[in-house]
Amino acid sequence: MSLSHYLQTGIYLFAFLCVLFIPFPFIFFPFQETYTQFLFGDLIQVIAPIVGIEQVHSGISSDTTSLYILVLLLLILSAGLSVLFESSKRWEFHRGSILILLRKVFSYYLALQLLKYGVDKIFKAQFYLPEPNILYTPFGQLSKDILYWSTIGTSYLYNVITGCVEVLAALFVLFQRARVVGLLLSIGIMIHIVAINIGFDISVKLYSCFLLLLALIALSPQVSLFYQFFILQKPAALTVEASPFLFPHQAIIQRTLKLFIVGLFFLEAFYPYRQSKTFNDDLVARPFLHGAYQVQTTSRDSVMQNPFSSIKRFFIHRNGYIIFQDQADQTKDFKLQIDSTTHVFVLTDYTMHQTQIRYEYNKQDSLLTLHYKIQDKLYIIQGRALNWKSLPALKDEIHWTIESN
Amino acid sequence: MNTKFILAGIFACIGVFANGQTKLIAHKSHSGSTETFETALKNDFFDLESSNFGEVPFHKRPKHILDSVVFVSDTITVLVCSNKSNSPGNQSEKYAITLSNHPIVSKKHSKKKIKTFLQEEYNFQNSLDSVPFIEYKESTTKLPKNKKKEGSFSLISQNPNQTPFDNSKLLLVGLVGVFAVLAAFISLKWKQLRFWN
Repeated sequence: MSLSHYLQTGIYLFAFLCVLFIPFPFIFFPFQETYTQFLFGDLIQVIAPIVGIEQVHSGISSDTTSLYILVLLLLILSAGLSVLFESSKRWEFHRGSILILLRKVFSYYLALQLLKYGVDKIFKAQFYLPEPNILYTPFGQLSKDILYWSTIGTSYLYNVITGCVEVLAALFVLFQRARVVGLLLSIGIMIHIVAINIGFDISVKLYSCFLLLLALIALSPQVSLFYQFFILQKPAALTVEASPFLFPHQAIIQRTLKLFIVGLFFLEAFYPYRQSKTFNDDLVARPFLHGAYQVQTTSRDSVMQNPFSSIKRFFIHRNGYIIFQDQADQTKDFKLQIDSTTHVFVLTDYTMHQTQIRYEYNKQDSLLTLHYKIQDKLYIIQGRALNWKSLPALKDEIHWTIESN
Repeated sequence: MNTKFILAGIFACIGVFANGQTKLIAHKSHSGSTETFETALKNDFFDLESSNFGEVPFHKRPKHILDSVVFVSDTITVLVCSNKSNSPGNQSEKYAITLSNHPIVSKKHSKKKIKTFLQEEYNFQNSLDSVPFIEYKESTTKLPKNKKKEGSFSLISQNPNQTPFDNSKLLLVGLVGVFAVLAAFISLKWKQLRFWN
């Protein structure tokens, strides 16, 4: 056996093991995390100190050290399996068919991810409308990842278009006849995503590189033909791969299986939206008191006496947080629980310390007043709701000419 | 009927729909700092555990329990709820949802009808059979049957901590299976017909 065979088998097995064990949060297949944790969880904790990592987060999620260690383990495992398989005569006999089947698996997995991420974009759920606290934070103070996420979140049109392109690529990949076009499109999309994730330091670097690898593997049989056609400018015909050996003579079973898998993919992608009846996240009603508040008055004590006198604005986040912004634009966030029956905010900090603040809300004047007691002394912060939706960043305007700006 | 909903309480935490984001972006979206991210990640604080891979988290949501239903007046009803998440930051949050002039949740309807509606619309985790209805006395004025729901608002869209194969999901998978068989059969027959013609 040649070295290239070992290498090819190793790469295919590595990609397949990643498909199996990278714990992606699927709705209809939520078992990956459980069995990956069961099989590799302890091993990751043991290996981490050996490779010089002292503390590892127990959960395996995107771009965590544990995910990198998992991928390293899968790489070692696939190298071992590659040597084992390549020395087997049975493998040699079935090798071609198995690699075709694996390419099909990779194409389908890639299509599922493109479909899911594409639908998320179309329904404006991935890059959501920036929260008021982000909109009122100076540009330079935001890190690149939240800055990118928020910027993309301001344009509905861009999200819909990029989402449609991803869905289109997924559909092309799912159908044999259009697969090569779909894979070419997918490679373009994935290169762009990898560039964004690395360039803007978004923590989905490893997973996006993996999806790019899948697209490259699935397209690999056509590479020599592209070279012949585009570079040597000689006529070339695309390779038509024979169906793998699953039910080769039972067309009805094969077709049913394919339709069933494609149906499940659509279910996986659309189910959350059908359930929540939400098809544009920008228009979803925001929770009670959500928004930005400009501080009008605080208690008339000096700064030394009143710890809140430097607060410029405060924000209620849609996921249940309250954020205070001071004159120097420094922010402090707390988990927020609102008891509307007793008009009390319960603020929890990162040490799990809880503080109760009484609130009053005057709907007519959009005034939210917070009453905070420290050692029997009452402090008051009164904030007026800001019309954050009218900020220039959220105006969906298109100017075809510079004069119309 | 002019139906007006006053939504109070922290239904911010209920979240009709969670957004796609990474753990770091989820944390930064509420102005969380790098220092506090370490703490939040280590302890799976707040809603951090549900964010991953930049995808829309869906099945990891906290449990929402309906503790009681208080009928304050003929037009106002308060749902007293709690959120029993395993996440340390979300432990046993109490909150209330005030419904005003609700077409279903009022004294005009039977307990059974109200409970069925609440279970379907809000998808609470607990059995509503034992949930107390405080100050509830069925009104003699009944609304006509089959009246269309007005302004209904789904707060929780799916049961987050049930086993992955709850009945509705199984049914959907089954339907996809039936569709696949039928579509495969029809497409093959169609192909055969075209071949013979």
